[in-house]
Amino acid sequence: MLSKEQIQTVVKKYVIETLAEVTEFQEADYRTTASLEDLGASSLDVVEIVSRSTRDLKLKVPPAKLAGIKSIDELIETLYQVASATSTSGG
Amino acid sequence: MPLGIEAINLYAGRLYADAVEIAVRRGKDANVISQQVMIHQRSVIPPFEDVVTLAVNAAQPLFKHIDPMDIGLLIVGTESGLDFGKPITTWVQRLCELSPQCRNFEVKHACYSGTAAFKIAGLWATSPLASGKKALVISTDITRPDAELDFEAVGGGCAVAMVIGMEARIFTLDLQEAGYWTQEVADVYRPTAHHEIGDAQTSLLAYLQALEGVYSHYQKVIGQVDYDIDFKKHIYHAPFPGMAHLAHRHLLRQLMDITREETNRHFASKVADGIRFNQRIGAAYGASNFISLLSLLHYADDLQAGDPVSLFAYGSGSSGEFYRGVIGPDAVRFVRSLALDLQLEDRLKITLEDFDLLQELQRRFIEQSDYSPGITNAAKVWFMAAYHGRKLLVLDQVERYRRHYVWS
Repeated sequence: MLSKEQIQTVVKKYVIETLAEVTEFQEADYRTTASLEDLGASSLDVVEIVSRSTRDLKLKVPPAKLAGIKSIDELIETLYQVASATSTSGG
Repeated sequence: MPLGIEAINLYAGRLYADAVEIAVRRGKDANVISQQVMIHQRSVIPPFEDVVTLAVNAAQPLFKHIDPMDIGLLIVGTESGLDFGKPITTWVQRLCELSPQCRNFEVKHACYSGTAAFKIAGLWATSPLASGKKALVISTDITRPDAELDFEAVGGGCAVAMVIGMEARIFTLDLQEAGYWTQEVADVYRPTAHHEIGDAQTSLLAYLQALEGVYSHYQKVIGQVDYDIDFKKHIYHAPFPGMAHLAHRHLLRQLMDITREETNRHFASKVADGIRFNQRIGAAYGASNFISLLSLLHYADDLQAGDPVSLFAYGSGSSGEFYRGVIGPDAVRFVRSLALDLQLEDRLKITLEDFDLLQELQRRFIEQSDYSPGITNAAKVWFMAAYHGRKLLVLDQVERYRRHYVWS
């Protein structure tokens, strides 16, 4: 079972990596309450962050779960819910 | 002789708008549109064209190379159907003067429809049913005028027509060399004749999951695959051109330890020439893979007969397929003789005000029983400027839902 801290660490890594590649984003700019759009992420960047994070975490996220996600906290919570459901159902 | 594409043509209409201008007026970041979405222009389909005229106008030039009486199967792939019962193929059969002995039907699976039609036609061509005849496969679609505003800049419309048979000189394939994958998801869909809706992030993730699914299945089918060495070029479904870039980077990162700069160089050498036509057309729906093939054959200096190419087709809903084909002996000469770059160059650019007016006219005619779509009314200015005298099929009248077509 993944802990929320593990998910937070991986998401942070890929938010910073992905946004630094396309904007002047730096680690000091990272705020989990911020909307990904306000941090400069396009829809393509968001999906890249999600796909890289879920690969590291070995999670499969139903695509519809991404609809309406705005902030990094919401993304982390969604991934945590998916991880919890996967764990509960035995994978 | 091998199975595959014997002849191919693209028709993207006669009008276009600047995609970046459209996006910026909706508050989009111009840099994101040009750098990530990677689109420059989009087709604008006037109300006197529909998916039948696009299909027929794409197919007509093929009859310089093949007798229409030799077509024994006609399949049209579309998600822009005009009728719940009567398929587009019935109009195409008559207007292209195909034989009465021509099986024909329409297939739907969002943007996967063109590949579905291609593969079914290939299966038919290799069977005794073909009896020496060939299949005509057309992918034709138009963005709904009421598509969500997020999609407005990357909308479009066009058709690709292909002759499929056992004398392939453009592109050959082995039907068994394919990986496929499906997942039910509501990502982009058309629940009414007006709407084209969806969630961008849901759709993008569904696409990437399909890419992983089809490639994994392809590896199981083929055995050992070296993604870099085994393919000279790669084609990805492009709902917008930048998706090919994201997809390529995503798959490379799955398969190897690679930096962003290295993926960019890899994309430039193996994918980028394949999206150049897409960047001037916008959404091509089921025709996307085949436009990329045309674009590669038109622009790539290092593509030769015998070179293997990978293709990834994706349709929302969702379904994906990954397969390989081989460049045929006459592919480069044939495609460059079409001068598709000049045909795109020759289109008429319209202003954003005219774009809105044409969209409004399209919207007004949806599901109407009687109307004159534009040759004789508000759209006449575009008809006279871009269509008149060019012998293109146009929609003249709709009377009690019956559609009447004429040549311009």
